[in-house]
Amino acid sequence: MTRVAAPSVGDAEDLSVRSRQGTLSEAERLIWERARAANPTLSVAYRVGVDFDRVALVQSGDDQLVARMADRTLDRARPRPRFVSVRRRVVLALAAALTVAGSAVAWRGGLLRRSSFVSGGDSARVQQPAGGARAKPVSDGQLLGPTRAVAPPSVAPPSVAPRLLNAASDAGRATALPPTTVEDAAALFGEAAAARRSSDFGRARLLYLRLESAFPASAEARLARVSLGKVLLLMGRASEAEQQFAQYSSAGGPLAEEALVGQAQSLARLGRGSDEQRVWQRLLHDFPNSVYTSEATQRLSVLAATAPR
Amino acid sequence: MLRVLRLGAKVERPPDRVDPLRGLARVAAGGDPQAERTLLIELGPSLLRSGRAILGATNPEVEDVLQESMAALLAALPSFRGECTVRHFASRVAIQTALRARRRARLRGRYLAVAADDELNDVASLELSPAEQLEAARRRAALRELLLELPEIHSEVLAMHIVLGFTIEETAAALSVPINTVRSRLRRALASLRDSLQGDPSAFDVLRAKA
Repeated sequence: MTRVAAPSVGDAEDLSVRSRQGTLSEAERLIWERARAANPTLSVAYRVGVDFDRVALVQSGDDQLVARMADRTLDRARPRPRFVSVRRRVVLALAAALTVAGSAVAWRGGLLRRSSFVSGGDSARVQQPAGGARAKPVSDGQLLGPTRAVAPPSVAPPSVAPRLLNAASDAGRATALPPTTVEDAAALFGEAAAARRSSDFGRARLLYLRLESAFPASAEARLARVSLGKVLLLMGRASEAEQQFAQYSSAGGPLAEEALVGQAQSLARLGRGSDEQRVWQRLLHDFPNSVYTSEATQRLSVLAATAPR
Repeated sequence: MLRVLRLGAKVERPPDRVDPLRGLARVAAGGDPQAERTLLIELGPSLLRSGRAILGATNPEVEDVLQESMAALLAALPSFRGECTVRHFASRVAIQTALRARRRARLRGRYLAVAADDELNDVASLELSPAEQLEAARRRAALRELLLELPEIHSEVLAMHIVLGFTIEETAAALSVPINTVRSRLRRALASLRDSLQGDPSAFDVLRAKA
């Protein structure tokens, strides 16, 4: 007669885990039941383990949360390089504008001085000796000296800087001058993504919308639909999010899988169960190896359980 | 600083499965930003799951703890020697981070008791009756409290095995300790759990009835 050896505590613990996973064979199940009945502590552990298995540790929207936190973590780990580069661009643009403005004023000032020297209109004229004698030419040092000292720094900034600062601020709100090149689409996309990563969803939304309206044919604008959809979903604007995702899904593209997930999640928020069900089914059909398969299956089973009979 | 590895401890049976994340983790440990991001995206759900298990599924600190876990994981990656899978390594980091967060919250006196109630909503659609759900929530709360009372070496074993469902072998590999050490720690931790639940007669009665 064959006797089934009593499992050691360690073996029984593994049987407990596998029982929770539902992977025990019939023979193992018998051993496990016997061990559990003989050991109250083991039974307690199993019971509490099952309690934890029942809690929904995976929730809808986890993928977005993980992506957001990953970006935030990496941004903090590397002193926010993209944000710095955007700021640096603004500062450099300001500095360049001020330099140009200063140079222009300096040049204009120099021209005026030169012209007054030629026409004898200004301070140079004052220095001219009376009696029509030919004035002593002003040296370069004399000409440049007062120009350098007076014109650019003290005159230009008050008139130019506020306007530039306002422009920069407007650019920050995506309402600046109309972009004119394809590079602007990329810059807008980058800026919107940076805003999204720093959880400035309102600004990100504006920038994505601007990108879509200003460069509708650009690759960035097409990708922006998915990004904007995610932003809108995070902002609780599920209806608008669903439209963005749906537009991308119908056009197709490399983010079609993401778009379908976003669309399904938006529909879930809107309580449109049957539409959500169709989108999850399409995801499983179009992307059978998707990383979202488990989420899709889970939602489909929930939807099937809650569907009116 | 995380004490993720205990050098010198010998693992009896290292996992013989090929870990698909090993190569990615090695590149990420070298500081490659793209690899770091990919790894965080890949392991994020595991980190999140561990955090939710320790803190409570609807605890508002879950997001902060997730981010903290990600940062801790990146910091600990260079010390990863491959004794366990990258996912188990990450789960251990997340458990340690979540336990620290709970201890901090308790010190600040703002542990959120609402977590258990919200979890009731999560399991409401399952087959349990409301009374059973309440009892299960009470047992989870007792274990979470116990995790804070136990020495760290015991609470880690308990969290990995009971809460996350790691096998003894997986737990030993993740902790870089021999299997027998895990068994010994687990035995003590389970005894503490049983004592703790015995302190709550109604919960323990339920356990006995179901056992």
